[in-house]
Amino acid sequence: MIEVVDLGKKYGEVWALRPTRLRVEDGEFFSLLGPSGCGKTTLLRMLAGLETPTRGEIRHRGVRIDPVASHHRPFNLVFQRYALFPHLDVRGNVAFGLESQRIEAREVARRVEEALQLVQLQGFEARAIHTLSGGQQQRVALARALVNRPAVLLLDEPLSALDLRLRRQMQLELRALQKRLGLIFLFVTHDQEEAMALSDRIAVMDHGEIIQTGKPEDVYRRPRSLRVAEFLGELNRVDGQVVGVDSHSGWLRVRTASGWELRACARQGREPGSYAPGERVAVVVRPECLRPVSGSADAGNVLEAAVEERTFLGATSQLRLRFAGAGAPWLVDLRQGEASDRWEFEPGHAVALELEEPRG
Amino acid sequence: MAETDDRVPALRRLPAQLAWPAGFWLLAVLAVPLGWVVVTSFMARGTYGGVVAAWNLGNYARVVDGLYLKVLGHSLWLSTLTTMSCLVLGYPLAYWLATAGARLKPWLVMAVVLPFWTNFVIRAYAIKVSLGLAPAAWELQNSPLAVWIGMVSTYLPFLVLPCWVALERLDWSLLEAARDLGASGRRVLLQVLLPLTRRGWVAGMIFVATPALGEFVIPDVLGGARTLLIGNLVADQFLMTRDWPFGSALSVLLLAAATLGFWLERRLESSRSAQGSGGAKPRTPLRARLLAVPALLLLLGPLGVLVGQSFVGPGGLTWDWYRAALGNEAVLESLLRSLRVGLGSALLASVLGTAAALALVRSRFLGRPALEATAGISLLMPDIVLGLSLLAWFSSLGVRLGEATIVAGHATLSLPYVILGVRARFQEFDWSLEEAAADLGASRRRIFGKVVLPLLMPAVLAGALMAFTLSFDDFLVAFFTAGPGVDTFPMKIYSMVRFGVSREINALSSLLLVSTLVLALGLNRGLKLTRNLR
Repeated sequence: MIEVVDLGKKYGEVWALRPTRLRVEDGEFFSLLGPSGCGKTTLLRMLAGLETPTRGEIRHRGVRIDPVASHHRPFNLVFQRYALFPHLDVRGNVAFGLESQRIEAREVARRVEEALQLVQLQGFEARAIHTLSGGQQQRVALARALVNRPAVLLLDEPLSALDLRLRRQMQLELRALQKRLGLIFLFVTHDQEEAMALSDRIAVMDHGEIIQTGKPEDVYRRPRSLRVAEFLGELNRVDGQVVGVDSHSGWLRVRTASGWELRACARQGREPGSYAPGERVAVVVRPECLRPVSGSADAGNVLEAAVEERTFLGATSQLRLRFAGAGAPWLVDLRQGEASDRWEFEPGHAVALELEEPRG
Repeated sequence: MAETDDRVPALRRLPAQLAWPAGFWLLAVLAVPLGWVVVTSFMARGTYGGVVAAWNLGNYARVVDGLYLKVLGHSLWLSTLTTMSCLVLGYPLAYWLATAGARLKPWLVMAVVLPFWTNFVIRAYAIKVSLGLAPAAWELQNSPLAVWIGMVSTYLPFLVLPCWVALERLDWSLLEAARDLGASGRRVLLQVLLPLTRRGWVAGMIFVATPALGEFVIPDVLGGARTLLIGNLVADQFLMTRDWPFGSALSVLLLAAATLGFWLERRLESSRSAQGSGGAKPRTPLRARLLAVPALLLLLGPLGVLVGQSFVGPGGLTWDWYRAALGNEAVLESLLRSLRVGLGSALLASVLGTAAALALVRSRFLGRPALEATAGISLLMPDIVLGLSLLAWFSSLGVRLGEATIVAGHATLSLPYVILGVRARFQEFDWSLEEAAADLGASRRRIFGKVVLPLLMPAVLAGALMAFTLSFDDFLVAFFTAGPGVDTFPMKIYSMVRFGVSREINALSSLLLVSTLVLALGLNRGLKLTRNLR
């Protein structure tokens, strides 16, 4: 278990990381997610001991380790561009950490072999680094960190230099590896899909602070703020006023300016009962939660709009819709075969939209 | 992210004491002697040639005297002509170097570097031999043309190399963009290529113009010592007329020129525009290749003639000259001395220089700007200024001249090259490697020994090799600091050349040329190895 208490880092007058509290449990795959400059890498580097905190503490299993020098911490880091030593071969790179601890040569050889097996690079021991592909270098970097049997593996956007296909594959392998080893993996990324696919829990960061922590599903479905919602994927936003609370399901009834009535769930961290009738709120609708239906509106959660554009995306198609009156266009995802190639969805046609029941 | 001066994190900080040895060295064997020259320039000449502390500005007043103004004019003209010729002839060659295919490129590099590494006395002599083949009626020997060829072929590499570096860093897609937007070849050259590589060719011009201002040995050997230049004048004041104050005043002028050059180069560096290399390089157009031919001819032609001539005897082809050269004990002795001096000064310069470069990049200390400026200025300073200031300083201290003083002079000569070369490599060093090592449990000592030093080694070795070559090539500094009877190899050849053309020199020079070629080939292989490392 690692615990970060009131940890902050200031460069000059600017907080790169505002004083932050965070707790990661043993065996967790935990991601720090946020745009560049949000402080996620600063937090990771302080954990690795490569930056000195301006204030606060880092505890590992209850013991303070922030005063411990980097080379004495049981944490190992996988660098963004791998930082493999170009003058050493694969074996030299993987053995570097063990040799720093003056471990006996036979033991080093055994563990290097074991680590290379773990990342499926047996037989690459004598290869020079520059002869390896990006994916192979990535594996060497992993082996080099894991061979030291760290308590925590820190990963700084390790997949960002790989192409999409390879990245998907490495994501699966990373997840499998973490499950198998049962270590804490602390993963930094700016790719929300990657974070959601891999993690047990996510901390979303922005402007030097954590703005929400939770399981991927929770953070995606019940964001704490518009900022979190915006960062985690495409969304449609509509402003309205609370009409009332459905006491049975806990859903809010919201009426928009144009007179629609929607049902929505309260944001994370707020009780439905705390919304007063008449309060102004923003409702967020994910593109995949909308279903177009032909015919006219009759039920509650049905909206009418005109198709502006249809974009073919492979597995799905996306419609851009414009409502009568004003407002930003809305996006709707259509699964292929569902109805995506029907003539009703050609630009210019009118469609009725059905909102899926809110989840969460 | 580039290394910033004001924030070197603890992990990467190195002790400032590393800069002390080089700092002391440059102070004792460069700055103080130069300071002494400046002081002397305000004194008066004693009755018997000594120096009298009668403070005056008379020496400077004499410089602007009509006669000496003319000498100054000659030197300026020679420097300007050489610089412009090098630019016109050298830029196409640099362009070819940058765009050449992988098979041709090493040979082109060799064509530029080989003459650069060949002793300049030998080069001047090769030109003399080549021009000697022309009909006597053309009167090429001791002509202004001979001087021009000598100057241009000597200084050409100083222009080609920085231009080449700039062209290698060019984003070539900008040229394609210009073409695509309908620019003519001429417009691409004038409005895109030249402005974008300005840093390269302006630096090259500074590297040529400043030392060329003090040049006098090439005009002497090739032009028959007909025109008086600042260089001759300075040498005469120190060696013949023994008017040290006046000689010092003239040297201060050359020193001022070097300082001006350094300042200009500095400004150039700070005005560097952000620009990434990239884009597909075009095939070298035929026109560029044709334009590069004169430069290649100037660089290689005389050397080829020299090697050819070394086999020509009275009765056809012969090895006799080689036999005679290797039997000449005085020559061999000087060759051995040059090797000793070269190794000694290279060792000294590379150890001091590497330590200083480490400190310059990774710590802050008082005198750091001074150290950088001293290194930068001495790089541009004509060699004669270093030679005579050391002569004046050593003799006023009563130091006996000999091999040790040559080693000291040569170490000073090459120290800046080592410092700047290793520093450049260290500045682009990937920090994350050190962080990775620390993260893997390596102590600071182990990080330095196992990661930093091995990766810097190619630059250190390149610096040492450069130092050896500079020492082996140098005539002027050795000439002033050697003392009687202690001849280095270039000095020996110089005196043999002065006494008339001897076929032995042809043979000896050819031998040296071949050994340089072998060394260069070896180094090329080594450099390729280091490129793969990155």
